[in-house]
Amino acid sequence: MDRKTGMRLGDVLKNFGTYLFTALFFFPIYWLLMASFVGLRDMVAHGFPLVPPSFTLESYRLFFKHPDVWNWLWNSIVVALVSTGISLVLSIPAAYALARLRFRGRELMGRLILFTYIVPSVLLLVPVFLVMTKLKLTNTLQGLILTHVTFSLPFCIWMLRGFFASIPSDLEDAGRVDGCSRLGVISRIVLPVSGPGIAAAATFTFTLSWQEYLFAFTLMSKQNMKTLPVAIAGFPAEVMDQVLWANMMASSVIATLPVFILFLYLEKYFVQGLTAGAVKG
Amino acid sequence: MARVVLENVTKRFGSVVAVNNASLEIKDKEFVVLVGPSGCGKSTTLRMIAGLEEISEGNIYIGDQLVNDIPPKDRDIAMVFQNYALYPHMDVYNNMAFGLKLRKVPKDEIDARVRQAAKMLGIEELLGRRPKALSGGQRQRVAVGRAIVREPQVFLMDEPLSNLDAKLRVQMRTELVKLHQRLQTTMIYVTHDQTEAMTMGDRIVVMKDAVIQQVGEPLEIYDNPDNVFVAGFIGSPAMNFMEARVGYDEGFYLEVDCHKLKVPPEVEARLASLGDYKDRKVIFGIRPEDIKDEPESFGEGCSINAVVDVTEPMGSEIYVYFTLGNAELVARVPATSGVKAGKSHPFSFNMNKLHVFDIETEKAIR
Repeated sequence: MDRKTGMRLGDVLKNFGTYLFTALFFFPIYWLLMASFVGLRDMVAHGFPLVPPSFTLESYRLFFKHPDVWNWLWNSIVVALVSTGISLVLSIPAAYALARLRFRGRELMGRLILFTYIVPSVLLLVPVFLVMTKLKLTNTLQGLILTHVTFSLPFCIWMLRGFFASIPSDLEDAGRVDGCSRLGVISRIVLPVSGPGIAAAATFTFTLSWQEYLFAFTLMSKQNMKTLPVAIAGFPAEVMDQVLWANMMASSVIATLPVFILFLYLEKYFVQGLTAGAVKG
Repeated sequence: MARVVLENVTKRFGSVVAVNNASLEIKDKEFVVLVGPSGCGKSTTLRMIAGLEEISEGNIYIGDQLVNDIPPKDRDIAMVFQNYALYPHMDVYNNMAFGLKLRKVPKDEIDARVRQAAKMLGIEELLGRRPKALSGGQRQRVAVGRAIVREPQVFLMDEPLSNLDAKLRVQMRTELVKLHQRLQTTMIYVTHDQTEAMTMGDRIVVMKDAVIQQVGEPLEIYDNPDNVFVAGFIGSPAMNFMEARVGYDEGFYLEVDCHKLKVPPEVEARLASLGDYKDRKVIFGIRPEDIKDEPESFGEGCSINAVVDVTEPMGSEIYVYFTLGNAELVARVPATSGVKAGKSHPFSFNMNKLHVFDIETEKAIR
């Protein structure tokens, strides 16, 4: 086998591996999508077919007929957007301070923040529930937003800290010499340059909040206060005799769409943001 | 335009002293080059003048104003950074206009100044481009342009040419000197490259280990270095150093590896304190161009024979490396010289140009 043939064979194997893994990852999504188009009768007859015998939007129609569906959508959107906003507003100055300012305890503070991220969230379920009950924040959007922010904030700070640290400090010095104050440097130079990092942090926080189940399930017991993931999970049990699984699949597709669109637009920023600061540029 | 004065300026980072008690007066319209090896404190000194580093002790004046507590934006300085520090999210025009916009200069004036500077630097056609679409040389010009439009009292330049290739560096070197002549503004320039320092500066400030070693005009420093470090740092190839014993036999001589090299009477007169070193060891320094590849070129008692180790033809001249005792020496000889590696050859030292340093303090003996 000569070198050229060897390389070609390597390429084929590499490509095959790529396709195989892509197929493995996409299969559940494909199945979800197909199952959402299966009619009630076909579902009873065929279960979950890979290719539906006939396509119907029946499940989607039924989903949107549910009286609380717009409440769930609204709850999910508000919680995800506000959590993202608060996380960014708090993490940007915190990350900048940890990346750039010299103060006593900086390293310790950085490590403590990382530590809070490392603690498995399930361990905090009961304490968080008790705190929220005491604060009378169960079954409120504020309570869930606060909970989501506590989980997304450490990650955002760590990610943005790496990003800010990777920005050459000369750039900020140039800004200061050109006429900016410290705050001016942040708003006019650091933030515009950090677009990819901020986009990545925002995408992460939005996705985390949008798909979070455990705390939303624990804190939001009222039907009209549920978020989409909790509502979807409750669907089959609630109307089992009428709708079955296809409806849940349709609602899952609807729940996945916003995040899918978000990733489609921000994918390049997201990857750039995650890798920034990994190497000294 | 303004003079810059440093009065006993010290900078400490924790227990590390980055600049130690530096005093310096830079005159109005002067081009001063701070030169020294990495970590000598030259960039820190520049950054203190810019206001980007706080001063631990001492005072800095720009013009007649004490600027210790004045932020960089209010010091009326402009700075060119080593990596150019162009704002990546702005095009060239806005990079250059940024400082003026912050100072609320009228739009028409900003436009006029940016276009004039762009014309001066030959970057008019680049005004709409982002920094990532520029070559290293173009970025460097934009960085200089950004400083020019501000029309500051003082220009600060922190190794602005070190990221350019050798050819472009030489070209930009000349352009910066011309620019200084045209703008007639005080310029403080930091470099580790002694050639840049020699060719660009009205005066050179040589630094080492956080301390200013010598301040003077390029040729003054080249001809009369204050110590071994300055003598070795300024000049390429570097000055040759060898241990020698000061002897006296109807006149002073330096004994190097059993060779007695006579100190001419006029040099004796220049080195008044040489007598104090009689029968003691000193460091004898001689520049490569003051060694000739012929015997007795500079009169009697200045020649030695040595085996040539390596020759480096440079085109117009040859660098000849040979060993004398423990010292490895280099001589610059004409390209027509017949010196060959591995063969013994006579060399003569121009003892009128000798340098002698105290072996302990390494300071020049004068």
